[in-house]
Amino acid sequence: MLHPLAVMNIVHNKSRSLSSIVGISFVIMIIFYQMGAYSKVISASMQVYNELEFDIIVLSNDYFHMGQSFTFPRQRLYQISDISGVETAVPFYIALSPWRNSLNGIIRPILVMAMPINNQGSQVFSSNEIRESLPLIIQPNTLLFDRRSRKFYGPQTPGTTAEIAGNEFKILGNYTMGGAFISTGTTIVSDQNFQRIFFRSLDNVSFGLIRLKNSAHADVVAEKMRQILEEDVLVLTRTELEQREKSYWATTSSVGLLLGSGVIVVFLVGIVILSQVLATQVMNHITEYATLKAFGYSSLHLANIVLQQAFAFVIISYVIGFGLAVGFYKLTSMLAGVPIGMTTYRAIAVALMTIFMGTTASITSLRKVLLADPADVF
Amino acid sequence: MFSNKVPLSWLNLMHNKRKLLLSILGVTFAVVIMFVEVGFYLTFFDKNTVLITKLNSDLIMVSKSKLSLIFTQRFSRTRLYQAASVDGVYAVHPLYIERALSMWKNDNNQTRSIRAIAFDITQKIINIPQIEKYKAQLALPNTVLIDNKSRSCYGSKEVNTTTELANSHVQIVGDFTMGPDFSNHGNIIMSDKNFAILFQKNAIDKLEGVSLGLIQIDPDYDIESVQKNLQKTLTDDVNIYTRDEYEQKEKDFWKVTSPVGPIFLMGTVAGFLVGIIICYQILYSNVMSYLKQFATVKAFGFANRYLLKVVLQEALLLSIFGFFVAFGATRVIASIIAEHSSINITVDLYISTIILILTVVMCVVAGIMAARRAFLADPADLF
Repeated sequence: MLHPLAVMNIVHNKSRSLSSIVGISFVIMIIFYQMGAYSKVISASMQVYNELEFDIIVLSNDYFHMGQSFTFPRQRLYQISDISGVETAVPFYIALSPWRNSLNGIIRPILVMAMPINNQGSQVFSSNEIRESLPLIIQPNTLLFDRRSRKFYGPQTPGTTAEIAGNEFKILGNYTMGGAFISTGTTIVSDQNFQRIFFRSLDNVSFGLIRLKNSAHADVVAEKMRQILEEDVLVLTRTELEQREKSYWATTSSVGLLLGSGVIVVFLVGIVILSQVLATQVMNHITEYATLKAFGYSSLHLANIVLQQAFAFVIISYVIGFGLAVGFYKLTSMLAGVPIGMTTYRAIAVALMTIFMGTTASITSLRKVLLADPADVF
Repeated sequence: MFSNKVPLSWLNLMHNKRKLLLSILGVTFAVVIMFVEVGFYLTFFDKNTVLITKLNSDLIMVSKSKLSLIFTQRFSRTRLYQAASVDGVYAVHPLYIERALSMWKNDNNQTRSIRAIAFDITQKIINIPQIEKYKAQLALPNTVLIDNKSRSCYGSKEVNTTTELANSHVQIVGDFTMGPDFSNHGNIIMSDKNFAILFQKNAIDKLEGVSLGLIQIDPDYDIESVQKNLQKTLTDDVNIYTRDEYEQKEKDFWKVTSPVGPIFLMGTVAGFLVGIIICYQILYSNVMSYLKQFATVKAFGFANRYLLKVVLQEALLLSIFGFFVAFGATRVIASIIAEHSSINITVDLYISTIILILTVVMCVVAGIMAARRAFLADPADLF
């Protein structure tokens, strides 16, 4: 399939080829990493919402993003509960609060989530694990603790204690969620406990989670709510929330902007480095190419060889870069507590980018080969 | 180091100017990646310490249990008076911060927590020129200055607006500039007397709990020795930091606490690794093109140590050229990013020093790796 000359050129000087391949692989790895980090920041914005059951969400009109959500009067939820199509309207509370590690006394902020719980628990969370353990934390000063919280929060096992805002709490169960880029840890308490920790009236609601009857259409009901409700709230369907949240993290937050421009910088750098490495490879054999021309090989034939050689390099490097990136994702996930993984979409996107870079680089070196004059060689 | 009779490394690099230009470009790009990543990483946390950088004090006293500015732990004002009696202390000023009780009513009659900063406004405690300007107004009851960069959730920030703060009427008498951070959406400044009236209505001993103690040192004394002295004299429920130390401590807190910290850190690591590889590429290809010459030099009786020296000199030259070009390029990139977003990547002396060190380390490591190829140059293969 490959022209033997292209293969020979690569194999001829193994250590030089290897060093080129390693160089390109690392460039591909850093592109993977930057893209992974960027898309994680965007997708992670829905991480907590994805665990909640709702068709429409009511938010304060000051709502910025999940980490800065503000509150609105609970009254608004009563106002909409009799709109046709609304099944339930449940208040949900969040706050960032100091959490004291019971072992070493170190204090770190944690995301506290709360909602009304009765003897049957609550239907707010979609995870069965959370639903089953919710009735446990009706008791005063008890909570559920997120396994994905960073290690510095201290022991996670049920039965151990921790302090939230100066109150001792007992951990009664665990769940798996992760605070994404909002918080390094999360915990769930009942609304009654929440009220006591923060001296905060339950009349100030963070999110109103609206579930609709099966027959109702979210867009229609949301529009009806907007007509009824005052200007101090924002009514969003699930899709609208997702769009809003993602666009905040991609374009407004400094994290998104920084990582986004990181992708661009790395991509540009990648093209330059790749072109240089490939050009060096081709130039090493320029006398041979000129000789072949003197033997009567057509320029088209030589161009074919150069392209094959370039793409063989790029493909091998892509495979190695892919492996390096998977390792780097693992390391970052471990350090950041935010799982970053390879996705098919990203694998294809970087593959296309690599092909594009390979082509750009080949065109530059191709010109030199085509211009190589046998007369200049000796 | 460059005292060879024949400056071989210099001549090697200069021999092919086009190639040299390409090599410098390669190093430059690696350095730009590191600059941008480190710049992102270090400036990302800057906004959390704006208040600290504006404090007009040499030393800062903080409750030992206050891990970050965002936490409320206060210490007894008595500690500050004790500190005043230590040799070399010129003046002490208490600074009060309230976030939980400081509920600001906006245009929609909703209350939003705002960071209230209070102190004796007749003293130059914070380097904000507007305080001097509005001193007379701030001395009146229930008056505040508002941070004009506070988020929109607080409603009108116009001068003369009257609203409610902690259920009392307050009037905005002027504004200043500070900006929101990771945990505060806005700031207000008021006199300590107003602070006591607004937030400590029922307290018997008003203004007893201090958030930050600002200590000014007599210019004739050495700040660090006074700091040691204070730490020794005072009971250990407080810590004494220089302003720079406290700023660093606050940034360190956010580096651990912010979920995005490790993302930028790993970006820098990736940039450094890529830098080593690119640099190795360049030096390796340079060694290869002069392999015959290296072998000849060996045939003349020079040891491998000499070859290592030549390659390392080339590496150093490349790193220095690359660094300076990258420095310029980063400033251009930073200004482009600043133009299109609210992000300012500072390219200051501190960051530049870190990057220069990283660049040199990067090139030297790559140089050692590349020189190993030169060692293998065999004069016998030459002809």
